[in-house]
Amino acid sequence: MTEIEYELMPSKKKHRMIIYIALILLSLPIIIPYAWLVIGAFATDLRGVIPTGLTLSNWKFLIEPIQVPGAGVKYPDIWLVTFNTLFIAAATTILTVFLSAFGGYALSRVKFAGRGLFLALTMVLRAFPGIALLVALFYVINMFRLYGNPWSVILSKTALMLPLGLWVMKGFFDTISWEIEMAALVDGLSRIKTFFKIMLPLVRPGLAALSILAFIYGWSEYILVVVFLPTEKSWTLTMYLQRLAYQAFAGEVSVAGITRPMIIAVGLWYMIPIILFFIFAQKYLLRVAVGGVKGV
Amino acid sequence: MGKALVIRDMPLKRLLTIKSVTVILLIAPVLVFIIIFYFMPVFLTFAMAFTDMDYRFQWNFVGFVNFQRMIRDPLITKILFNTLFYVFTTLLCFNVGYGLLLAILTSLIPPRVGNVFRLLWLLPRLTPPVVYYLLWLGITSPYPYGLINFFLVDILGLEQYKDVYWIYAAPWAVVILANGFVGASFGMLIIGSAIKSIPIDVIRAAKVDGASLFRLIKDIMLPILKWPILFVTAYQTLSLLTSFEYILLLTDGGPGFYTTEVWALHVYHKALSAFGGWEFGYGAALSLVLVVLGLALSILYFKIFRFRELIFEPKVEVT
Repeated sequence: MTEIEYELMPSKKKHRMIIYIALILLSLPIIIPYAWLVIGAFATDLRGVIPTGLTLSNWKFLIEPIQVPGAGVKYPDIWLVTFNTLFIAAATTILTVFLSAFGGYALSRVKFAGRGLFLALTMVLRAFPGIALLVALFYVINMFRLYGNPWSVILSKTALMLPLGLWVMKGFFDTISWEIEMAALVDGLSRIKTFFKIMLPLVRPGLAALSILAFIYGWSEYILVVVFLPTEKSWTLTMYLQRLAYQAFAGEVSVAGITRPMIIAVGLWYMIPIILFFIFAQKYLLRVAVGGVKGV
Repeated sequence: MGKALVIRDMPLKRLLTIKSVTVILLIAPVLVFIIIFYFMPVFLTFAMAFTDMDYRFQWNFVGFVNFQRMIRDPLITKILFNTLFYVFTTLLCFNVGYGLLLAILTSLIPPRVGNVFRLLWLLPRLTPPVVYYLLWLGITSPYPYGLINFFLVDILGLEQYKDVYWIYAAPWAVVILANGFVGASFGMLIIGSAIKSIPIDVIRAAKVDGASLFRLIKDIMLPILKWPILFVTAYQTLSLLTSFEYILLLTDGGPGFYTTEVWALHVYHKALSAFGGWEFGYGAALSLVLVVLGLALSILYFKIFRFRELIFEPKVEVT
């Protein structure tokens, strides 16, 4: 799998240096802003990416709710907001992974009437941009009395993730040899027991990869939260950070009590799970980030 | 499928039988989701487009009024041109252009190092949109906070840029760059994996024939990469047409009057934002254009990219 990359590597050292320099230059627009985010969160103030001094006081928002004196604006407790975000992310992950595993197994292993149609449908949905249905989705959510309820986001997000999830899980089940499943069946396990005891453990890498992706997308969700969850008690970090950024970065620059480095710290707080995944789960990220395309 | 022969034995076949109840348990939850969140909304979009529904959710059918209004609206032309400009500029420069460049460059270095750059470019895609927006505020703010202005003023000494706020000064550039840096990773990974699957003998043979690196890329790799590039173009056209969250965050369609308003954002403004008056009927008519286009294109892609090949029957025939 990796041999080809060595074969393509230029033999001259000078050429290799040019490639490295080109890649670093092309990537600077990514590297510098993320460096800014990390440095800014611990800086007293910033000039470009250079801090004027270092401090931990930007993280005070973790201890006491942010208040804007005079304006009467008080931000909800960060822990409540973080919990709301975590709840949406976790529920989306569990639903997406289980539904995808069931459906993916059926698509990969079971012959049933309408299987071809079902498979074609999931593939068309893979390309179809579900977000185009947002207006009608609003009607559906309202019909089920879910407006303002976190489950509106969880269920919608799960639905948007499903075509990809089914596809990823089907791919993983396809790679497992039939003999293993057969052996279990011969030993007298029922098909459903075989699924839970033999097959699911074998596709653990797929479950892990899909979980990580679903968690990140649930955790980061923006549009659905903005449209379905307007009330402050169900705010997620998305709403919290957006309000802060609007107040001090974009518009009223000198809102008392809110500093730029503090907002950057909130941004870094919101990034923590993603940073952890980038450090500890790289191979999964590379595998499913753009949709579980084989060989990536 | 030689393996399938084994289970022609009757006892084994019974062993493998899966009860229809089990099949229903496996598939039903997924089907329920697909019906509620895809089928119903598609149907509703069609129906709502012919009503004047507002926040009261009343079904009052008015025929083609919404579509007449759409055609008569002089701003629709501007929004249409904005959308085409946004989709094709971002697509060509970043989703395909930058993506292809990154895919080729990362395949020319050892895989371990290549993966570092690949992961780096995945970061924007997996960053919460609001944090990504915060990064762009940091990039574009006036001196001394903004990164661009810090570079221009303190490093290049160009004092005249001191007070420029780039989101207002160059909204299109910011919108396209911000979306492009997210979009580049898709092309990078898809095209990158296609490069990995080029037969090694082809590369060796070309090298033996004395092909330079440039010729190797131009004459061997690019022709093989034609299909993946087409795939990326097709897929990303649809996602660029319908996604609007970064534009909503960065410019909200402004600055000024509809400067960066694109079709999908216009749907949001008309039907789903507090300032738009909750015009669900008109919003549905606007999104019907996207839904029909989305359905047509996804079925077309399904045919072009021979997805059908991937639908093979399960290894064991069990009924």
